[in-house]
Amino acid sequence: MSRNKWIILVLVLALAVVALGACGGQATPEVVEKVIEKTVVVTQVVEKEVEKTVVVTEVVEKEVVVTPTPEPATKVTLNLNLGTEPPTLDPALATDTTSIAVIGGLFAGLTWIDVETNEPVPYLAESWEASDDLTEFTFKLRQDNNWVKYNTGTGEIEVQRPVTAHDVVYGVKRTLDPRTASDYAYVLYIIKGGEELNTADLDALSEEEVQALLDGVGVEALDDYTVKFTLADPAPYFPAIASMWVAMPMPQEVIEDKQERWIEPGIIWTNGPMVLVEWAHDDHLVLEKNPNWWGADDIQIDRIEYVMITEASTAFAMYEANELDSAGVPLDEIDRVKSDPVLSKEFHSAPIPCTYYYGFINTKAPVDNANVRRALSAAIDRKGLVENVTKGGQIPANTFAPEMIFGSAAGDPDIAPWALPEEMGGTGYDKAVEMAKGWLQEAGYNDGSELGTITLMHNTSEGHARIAQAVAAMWKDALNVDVAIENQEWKVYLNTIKKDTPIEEVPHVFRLGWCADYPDQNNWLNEVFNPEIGSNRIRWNNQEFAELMRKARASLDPEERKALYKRGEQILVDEEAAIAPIYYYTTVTVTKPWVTYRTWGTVGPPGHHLWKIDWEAKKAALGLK
Amino acid sequence: MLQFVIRRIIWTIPVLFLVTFFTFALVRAIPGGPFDFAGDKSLPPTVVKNLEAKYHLNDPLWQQFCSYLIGDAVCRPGKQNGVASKGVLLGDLGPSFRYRGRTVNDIIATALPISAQLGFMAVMLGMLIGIPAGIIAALKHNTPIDYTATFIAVLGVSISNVVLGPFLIWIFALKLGWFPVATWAAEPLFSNIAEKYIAAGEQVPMWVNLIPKPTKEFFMHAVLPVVTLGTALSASLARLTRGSLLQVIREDYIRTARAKGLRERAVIVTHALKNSLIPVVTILGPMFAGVLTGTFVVEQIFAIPGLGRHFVTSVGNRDYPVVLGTTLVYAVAIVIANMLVDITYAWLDPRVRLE
Repeated sequence: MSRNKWIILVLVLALAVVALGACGGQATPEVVEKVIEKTVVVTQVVEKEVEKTVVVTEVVEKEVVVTPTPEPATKVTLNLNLGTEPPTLDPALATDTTSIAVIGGLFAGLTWIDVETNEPVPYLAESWEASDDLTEFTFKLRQDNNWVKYNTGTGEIEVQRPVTAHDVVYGVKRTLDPRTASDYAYVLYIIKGGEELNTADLDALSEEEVQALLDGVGVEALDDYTVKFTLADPAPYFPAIASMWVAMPMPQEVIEDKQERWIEPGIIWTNGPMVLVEWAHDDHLVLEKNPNWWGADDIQIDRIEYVMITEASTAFAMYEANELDSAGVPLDEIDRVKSDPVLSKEFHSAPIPCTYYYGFINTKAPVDNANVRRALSAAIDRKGLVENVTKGGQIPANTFAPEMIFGSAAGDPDIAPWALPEEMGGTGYDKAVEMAKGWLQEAGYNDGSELGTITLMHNTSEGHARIAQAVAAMWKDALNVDVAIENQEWKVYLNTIKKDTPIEEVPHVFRLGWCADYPDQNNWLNEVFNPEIGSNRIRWNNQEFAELMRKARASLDPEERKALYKRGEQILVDEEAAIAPIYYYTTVTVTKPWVTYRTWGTVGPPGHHLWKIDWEAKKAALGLK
Repeated sequence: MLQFVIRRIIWTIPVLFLVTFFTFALVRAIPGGPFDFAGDKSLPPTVVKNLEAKYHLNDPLWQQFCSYLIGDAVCRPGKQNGVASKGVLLGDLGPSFRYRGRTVNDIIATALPISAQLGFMAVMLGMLIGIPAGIIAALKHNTPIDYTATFIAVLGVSISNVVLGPFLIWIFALKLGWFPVATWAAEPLFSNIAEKYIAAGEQVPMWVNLIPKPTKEFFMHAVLPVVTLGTALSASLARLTRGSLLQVIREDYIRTARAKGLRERAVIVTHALKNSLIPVVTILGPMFAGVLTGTFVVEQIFAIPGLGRHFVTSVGNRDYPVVLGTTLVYAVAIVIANMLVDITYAWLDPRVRLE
């Protein structure tokens, strides 16, 4: 082969990398979208388990192990689709819904976000007390929770030792330790000394100074089963933070021994309702019930088999072939599912705590004028959009935070009634368009075309493109505004809309979504839009809003907090119309009739282990004995 | 011959170096970094700083490249913080930024064997159908057999895997229920070795994963993806074989062979066929290299945990070591494939000399 060929080869490879860079975005749906596609699988389970029994029998013959493993067919098995490989099972490092779904089954934190009420309830902590100024929280731990390990050799679940307050202290400090490099460490900055530790440059410090920083973190074990948190600021929402993965107990001896490999089956110690049995990367992951769990009697599911199928249409086909108990419905299939006599009964769309919104760059003319922003926001026919474009039963949004969040004012007609259809207490679209025209005139424009071309940007995705085209058409029809739609690959896009990008390079309008980390408005209004702390992509500087957020954060009275947040929403989406919320997300799924109880759109982990199935019915449907 | 192979291997070194260099430079030239955002949330600068320190992204670029090539021990002496890398030269492709706790070596050791199994079966199927079909079409030139074969081949080339895959699933998995819808069911042939590694919580080595146990389960799962991938390959092989054989048949030496009274069978098999396979072999090399290292679309549709998805998603995630690792695997595969192609040339065409 000649030299020229080599050069061409290198160039082709180089080009391939560039080309991949250009199209990689579609393959990586961001977190918001992944939430929606949660699913469930079934058949091969049984065959695989039969093979396993054979292995167990051999062991019995050789070593005469006393405990007989239950017959495979009697293991009540739930099959779910995770959608993608969980990037980690380490509670300190998890950031995405997939990892958190599995971690929620494996580990138990101090509190648990109830799957029905979305409020924090006692879990590993039996009870807790807060000081009057809400800066100190003392949690009393259960004494009957143990670390367990699944032995991949024998298939036994081995009890290691009790979970104590020291494990919680270790877990919190490990998350905050800059050497752990946890993405979500900043959630724990609310704990006194947390930010100091996480932002320290440990290489430049002596060992004593590092130790002093570690000791300075406001979490201590008063005794083996009591842990006290001292906070930097009052935080009425702290019990919700205590449910989060970053604050879970972690087994120090295993982590220090095995380093980053401690999350593999056979090594990992867990303290939750399930144990990790198998993790074939990118393929499947198996959890089994932890018989040592305090609530084991209430858990019907013996085994959860997760597959990782990214392609929604493939997962849906597996559901139709009875290989799945439940699946997300691809957009193209929604009309067929709704009209099918069988599938329509299995179809359900449930709200999840996420919001789809358009943000305005508040300093870029002509959307630097509040009346223009209001006019544009009001001219979006949200009802028409969810019924004809997204079709998943999404709910038109008139606020940023959806209903499940503490302090949310979703659907309250005091706020942006022009965003709501009449049956939800709003003005309806026709009136909203009249109001929009009025605001446009107030801003000094007789016709939308005088605004010049408005740039609307979204990250590359078919779904976002459809919505953007629909909104552009609405703006054109209602106000005669000219819209240029642009799209960029996800990470390029996020860089473009940062607050420090030169103003001529940012679009007028950008799209984003937001999902709850914990069910409190602090996680929404304050963390996203407070001009003084958040990423402030909308580039506003509303001091009244910042002041409201400060007050609400420190307030001890829940009713007062709700009122403050409601006022905040009013400023954000109505008076200033700094953003245009479009809809609250839903999860659109089909579920087999033998699933007798399932959870829907939770703020915390989805709690798959809480599901119940009519096992006889499922076996009959699959033709098993 | 041996001299040829050795010279080729020596030539590989600068090629792989340049591939590494360009990939390293280009992937870092794409806007956005691996730790800018967690989902929709931009991370505070303090947290990003910790992450970059851990993965040495705050070092100067030349130092990072040096570390990647020959390891931390040489390139950042005395600095023990973060994740240590031994360097590509010692076979350490580094940690994945996205899958915390997994290394690129782990990912490749798990995913590459699966892609290779799928790719190997697909190319075999492609050759088994494509080459004979092309030969028959050429020999029955301008007859209904030729037209039918050509039509099917054009159809096979035109129908993309994105269409064929779901179509096959719909018919054979949903309507007829003959095969499972998706997923891959390979268990290592040496399962006792694999189990030892699993029980110790260690990564199962690549060679153990490579050879599957020939179970019914395995083949049932393999049928639809192999047919999907193999159809497209066989179609392009058939067209190429037909075209090439038609050209060779018109050559003077074939007429000579016929004129000296050789039987038609001998003319075709010994004289025409061997020579006409040269373009086919040329394309088979990169084809093998391409499908053995993973095919994104088929793996995506059939939820097969191969290397193809890492090839594509790692760029979106800005998972630099995975981008580099997968590209290197592909480059090595291409280099080996092309070397084998060149050796095959010498065997097929006596005029070609390897010196």
